[in-house]
Amino acid sequence: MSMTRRAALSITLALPAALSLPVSALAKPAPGFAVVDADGKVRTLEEFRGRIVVLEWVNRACPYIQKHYNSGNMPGLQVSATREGVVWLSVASSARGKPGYWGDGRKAKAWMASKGSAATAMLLDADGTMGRAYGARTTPHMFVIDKTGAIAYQGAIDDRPSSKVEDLKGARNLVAAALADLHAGRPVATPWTQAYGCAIKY
Amino acid sequence: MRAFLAAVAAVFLFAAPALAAPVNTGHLEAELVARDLTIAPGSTAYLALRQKIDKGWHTYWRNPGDSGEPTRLDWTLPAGWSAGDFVWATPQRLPIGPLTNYGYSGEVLLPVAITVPAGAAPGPVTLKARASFLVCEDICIPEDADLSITVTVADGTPVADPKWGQAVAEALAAAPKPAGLTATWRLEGGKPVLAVAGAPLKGADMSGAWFYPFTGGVLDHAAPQTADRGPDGLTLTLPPGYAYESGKPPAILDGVLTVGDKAYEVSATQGPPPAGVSGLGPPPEARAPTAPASGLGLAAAIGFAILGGLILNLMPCVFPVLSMKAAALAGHAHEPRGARAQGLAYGAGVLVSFLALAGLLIVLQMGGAAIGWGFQLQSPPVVAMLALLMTAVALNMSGVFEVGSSLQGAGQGLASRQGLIGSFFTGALAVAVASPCTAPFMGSALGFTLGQPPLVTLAVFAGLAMGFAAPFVILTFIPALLALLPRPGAWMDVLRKLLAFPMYGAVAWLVWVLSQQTDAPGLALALMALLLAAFGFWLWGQARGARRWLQLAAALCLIGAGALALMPRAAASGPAGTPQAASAVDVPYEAWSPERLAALRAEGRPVLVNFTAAWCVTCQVNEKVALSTPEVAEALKGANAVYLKGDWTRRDPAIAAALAEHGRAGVPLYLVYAPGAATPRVLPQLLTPGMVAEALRDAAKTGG
Repeated sequence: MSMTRRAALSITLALPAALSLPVSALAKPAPGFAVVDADGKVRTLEEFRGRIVVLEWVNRACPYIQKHYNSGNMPGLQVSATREGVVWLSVASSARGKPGYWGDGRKAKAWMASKGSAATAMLLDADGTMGRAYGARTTPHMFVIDKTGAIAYQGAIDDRPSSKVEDLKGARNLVAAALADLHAGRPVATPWTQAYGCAIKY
Repeated sequence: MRAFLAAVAAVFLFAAPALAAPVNTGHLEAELVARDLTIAPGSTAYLALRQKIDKGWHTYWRNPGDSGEPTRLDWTLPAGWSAGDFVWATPQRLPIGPLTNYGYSGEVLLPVAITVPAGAAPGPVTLKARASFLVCEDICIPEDADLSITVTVADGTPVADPKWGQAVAEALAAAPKPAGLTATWRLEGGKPVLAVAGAPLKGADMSGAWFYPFTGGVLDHAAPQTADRGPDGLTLTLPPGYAYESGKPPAILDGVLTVGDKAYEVSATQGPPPAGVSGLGPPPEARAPTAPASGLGLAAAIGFAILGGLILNLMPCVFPVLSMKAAALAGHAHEPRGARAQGLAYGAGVLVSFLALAGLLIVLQMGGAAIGWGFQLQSPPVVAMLALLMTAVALNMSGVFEVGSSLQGAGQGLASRQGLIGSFFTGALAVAVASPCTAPFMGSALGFTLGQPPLVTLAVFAGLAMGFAAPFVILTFIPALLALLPRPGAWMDVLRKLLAFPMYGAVAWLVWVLSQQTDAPGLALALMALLLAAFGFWLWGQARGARRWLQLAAALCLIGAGALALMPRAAASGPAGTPQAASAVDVPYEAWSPERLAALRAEGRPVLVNFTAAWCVTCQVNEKVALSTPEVAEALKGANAVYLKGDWTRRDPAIAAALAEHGRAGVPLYLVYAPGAATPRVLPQLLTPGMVAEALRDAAKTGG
């Protein structure tokens, strides 16, 4: 009798704790930002409320970025994602004078054009405010924000941490997987991974 | 036979390392090196990837941290051969802006186990591998190298590679391994708390404790990890990474734990912590080779040691010996050459005794004993023997007996061999009695020697000896100063007999010290030893070098006294451990223990800690003039503070550890903990009531 009562008690005690835990996603609201893009326009997270947003930290001097752009892997994903209504924001957080710093938005636009980038915008975060707010560590470091403004995925672009183009074959693209889950209304199966790449040059 | 010939060829004809060539990939030099020149079929051989990385650049550990990529080796091996994963060396933390990476700089060897098939044909075999590095400075560059190494398969015991054999063996030995540690983790306030216990951590140097997780994303690599030590291990509160934030923490938290200069592989399961992993406070900062915990360089430590030695001459416990020195000096004042010889002999006595003590300290610490300065007075037989020795000196000064013709007699045989030996032992005696008085400057100089190589310890102790001996030696070398002393005469005998009384005082003090360490029967034994010794010396004096039977009886008495003095044993518990009212005013205190301190700090109460010992005269003086005063008693009450006393009269590893944590090797040490403050305020070694009261008031203020 007392055993049952104790068991019942422990269940009622444990239940709220279990409920308060996020089930699978990070369930962290994405930090807001206001950053000038390559066209000189201030972009905020607010303006894309209700849409899926992908953030991609980028540094043109980084071999990992070169792997994913020169192979067409990243632009390809940008094309397919934006075609389905996703907002794709590339973010450059390299500080002034550090590798990957743009300085002039026109240079960024020219680079995007030369690589076939289909990103919605390139945000120039030279003071690193946005990068630090998101805890972005590497280039590339990917974030997928769902329609409610919560971070649904953060981490690596794929599951083959390497700078070699040949490793793209057979790699599972984790951003594509997260987007597919969101489009299908499923919880994101892999909500986080360890990002790989070059350190962001804050 | 062919295998044998191959081995002979490899070893005797070439006597060169296994054939391999370093490849420069741009920012590092890579090559495969071998532990063994010959390897036997069916055995496991060890090769290693050697990286010599350009200055300012680095490569990565198995978990590269916030960015980067681990070094990789893809083998092309003959059929039947296989290669294991790297035996990863302990990584370094590489901070870059707000991020932290785990990796290597400079030269690093990463060993790899190679399994040789049983059917491997004897003779040379070339093993090939493609090494992939991500080498980063401010920018990152992927660099590859096609490496190969030719080893010789031969039966029998492997022959070590002459060039790299030892380096690979050392890298294997130094790599972190599981060491039978018990490890658990649990969530506390949203943070994973790692608790590790086991024999290798018992009383170990835990400076710079850090946990390097094997997988990324589990922890925030750049955030600080806070450590708390315990007698058997430590607790690390870790910054959670995505794994914990997502609510799906790893079942097993595994990685490498570094403490001091050691590193262990740790695999923690979720659960309550093992016993003895907390309560002793955070370990000292990592002791970098160039910046010791006390912040002292070697030259500064020696400088402080010399200064501390000088000050020792003024300490109360040295006074009786000083009086002896004065008596001896007055006797030699007007014979400069003889005086100089006496001075040098005394200096030599001081130096030799200090170095002998240092040697003993080093040997005992190497043996793992948790001891510090003053350890020699923690043993009852040693204290009893010292009391006996002081009694002998005092009786000699009183004129009860003479050694030789006239040891300290004026005017005759000043530079005689016996006189010099007498001076030498005066120096030794001075050291024996002075050692428990860690004068203020000596505290940090001696603290510096903890955990230092033996030569450094010896250098610091030599500095101490020089400072201690300097005043007397200098005096004997300056005739002008010596001339100031009065001429020898009948007054000398009076002075000598007068100065005997401070020596009796020293005996009384040592007996009191003994009373704190041993029980009543032990004390009775020591007093009987003193009585027997006094009788023996009187008999000896009566014999006057002529009556043999009296001399024999005296010798028997002295041997008996020595034997008795060795008998007192340390009491298991005694007056030293029980709370008692302080003598001057009633300042209540509790016994210090790491657990009690942690509990009080957790309660948010200010704490005054006094590490003391009966044999430490500085401590006793401080208790009398500062701590046991109405002013301090009121300040304690006003601050709602608790007064904890750690008594080091008897050996206590927990107190030794607490002293070491604050860079000290001996008592006294006074600490005031303000509520919520991470580190205590260290009070000076010479206290005033106002000083203590003010520190307590400040602590209460920060708390409020």
